[in-house]
Amino acid sequence: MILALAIALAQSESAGRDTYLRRCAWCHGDTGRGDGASAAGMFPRPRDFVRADYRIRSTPHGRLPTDEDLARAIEKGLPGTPMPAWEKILSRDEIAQLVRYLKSLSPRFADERPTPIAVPSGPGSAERGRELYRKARCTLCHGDAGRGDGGIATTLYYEWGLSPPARNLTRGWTFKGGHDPRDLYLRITGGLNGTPMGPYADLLTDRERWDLAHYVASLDVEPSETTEDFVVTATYIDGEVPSGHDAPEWGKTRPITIPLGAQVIRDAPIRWWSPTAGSVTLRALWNGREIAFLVEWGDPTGRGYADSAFLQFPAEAGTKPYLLHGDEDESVLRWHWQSDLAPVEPMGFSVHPFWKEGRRHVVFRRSASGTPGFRPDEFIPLLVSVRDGSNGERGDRRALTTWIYVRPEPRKTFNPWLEALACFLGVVLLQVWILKKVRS
Amino acid sequence: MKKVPTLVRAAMAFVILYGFFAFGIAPVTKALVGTAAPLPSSLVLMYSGMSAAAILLYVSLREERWRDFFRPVVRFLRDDEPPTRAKRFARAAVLVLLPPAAGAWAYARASAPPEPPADPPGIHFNLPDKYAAVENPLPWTEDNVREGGILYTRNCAMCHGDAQDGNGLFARAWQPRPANFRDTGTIAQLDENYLFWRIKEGGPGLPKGSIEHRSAMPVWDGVLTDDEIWKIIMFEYTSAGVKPAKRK
Repeated sequence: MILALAIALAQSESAGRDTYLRRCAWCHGDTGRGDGASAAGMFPRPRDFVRADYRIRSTPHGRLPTDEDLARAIEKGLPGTPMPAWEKILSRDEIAQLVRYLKSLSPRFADERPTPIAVPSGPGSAERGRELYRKARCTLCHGDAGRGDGGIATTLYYEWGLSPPARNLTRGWTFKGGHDPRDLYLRITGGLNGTPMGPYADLLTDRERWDLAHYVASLDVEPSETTEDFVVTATYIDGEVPSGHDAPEWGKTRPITIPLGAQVIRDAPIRWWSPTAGSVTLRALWNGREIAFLVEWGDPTGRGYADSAFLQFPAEAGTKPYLLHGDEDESVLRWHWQSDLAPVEPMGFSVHPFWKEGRRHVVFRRSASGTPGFRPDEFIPLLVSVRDGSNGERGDRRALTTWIYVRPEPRKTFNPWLEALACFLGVVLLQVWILKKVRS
Repeated sequence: MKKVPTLVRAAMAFVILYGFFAFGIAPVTKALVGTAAPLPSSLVLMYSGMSAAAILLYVSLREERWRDFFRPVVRFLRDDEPPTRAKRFARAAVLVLLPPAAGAWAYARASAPPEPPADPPGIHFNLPDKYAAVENPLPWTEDNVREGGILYTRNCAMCHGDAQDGNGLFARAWQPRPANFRDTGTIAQLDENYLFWRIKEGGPGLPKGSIEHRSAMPVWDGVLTDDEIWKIIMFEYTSAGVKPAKRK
């Protein structure tokens, strides 16, 4: 009986190993040391299962994760990292076998019995949590507005010698372990093993941590899914277009947030896999004579580094140049802002940068005529790219959008209600005419 | 047998033609050439407009047919005998509801922003001639697939995903989105030489005037060797659990 059980267990472990080698070893390595073929270029690095210092756990600091913790990471993946969700690809049995195999890689699992932290129920108070966020000095790393721009954020390091950026709390979709208050309570209580994020189990009471979790959840304000209609509408305004990022006119237009990809297109000098910015928010205003773009993106380090933003357009109207730099036949022209330089060429546009609490704001302003020329209801191709100097981004090491469009909105000269009324009356007259004709 | 009114016949002809343009082209092209190529909505609109004009032309060719065409409308609006309550009610409903419906349509049209210019549709382009006779020179051995897997995770997974599902870390930034190799509509309908072309020449290798300017697929020629590309192809098929069209 015991022998049969032992054999069954061994078989399931070897099945887990097969799945592991087929699906996981590419990143996590054949021996589970997190040193797979593609690990070098990755951030965060793939987990080392032999060291077993798991970050995302429901257990206290320094402890091992539960089986459910491991299964959840495999099923749902780790958002914001290359770890995919496997629930549609692997069966429940395969995932259970994998969990067993991962546990066999560290002897600690044989002796330790991880027990999950009890999570409070009932309402938490984000209002009280706001006070605690300051009192517990979360601001030191995560910054006043939660954008990961705290005063000591750039001095952090952990045992691999990599410096982890403090989490930007406004982007919940990048939280590896989820972003509802329950998940956040577990992270605050148990910390993230092996990182500067320590456990607050002894520093704050259960209730305080529950309130703090609700406050952190309330900081998650950046949209998780970026919009699919990639058109920036330049709203028509009367009067001057603004230069300041905080001008009230910006409230008259709808911002759109567009995802940024890494510059993976050009090999020379290097492809880039780890850009800081994950999305960019765009607004545009115009008055028929001038146009202004407000470009905003997350950048935890404001000063001391050469940060850049580019707006680029086809050099010739009607052409569609290749992504990034165009090619020999069809080239692009760029509006470039760099934090440590005056505009390189006199392009006839002005830039107005601003940085606060982990967010860059740059206004580009230019005459609506010239190249490209902005005319009502014409779609002008636009590509936005940004560089974070503190992340070593230079040259083509940057984050970029695909080709999107900007459409200057025409000055509203008519009311859609008038058109509706005209159509209504037209149909009434037509009906009268037909009735008369039919009945005569 | 009673003759079907001309109006009904004309309407049926139009519905059949429209249905074919809107929904019938995809299965037909799939049966003929193996890939579904539905018509873009602008062409559906144009072809159905032409069909309507042709039908009206046919109807108006003979005076008698023309009168017959309008007879149901005339009968609906005119009372040659005392009308039933149902007819009266239906007529009032049509006459009252039509103008506001037209007004609402005009309002929606006037307040909707114009659509951005659409790129020509299609994921599958014709394979250039010079790749037609190219064949994978490497055997499908475990070692080759394994080496392909290493190259794939290093070079391709950030967009196409570690699970080969087109959901890599940067996938949502690109238009078109990276191909999902697990979808039966992608590499399972294609052959190894087609993938070889797409990987080697990337976005810029696509036909001019298609989506070559916005495809984020890099040019791997000169970065990966031909053998490396073949190994990646074998890994993609193996790991996604599908087979090349010819090897099925």
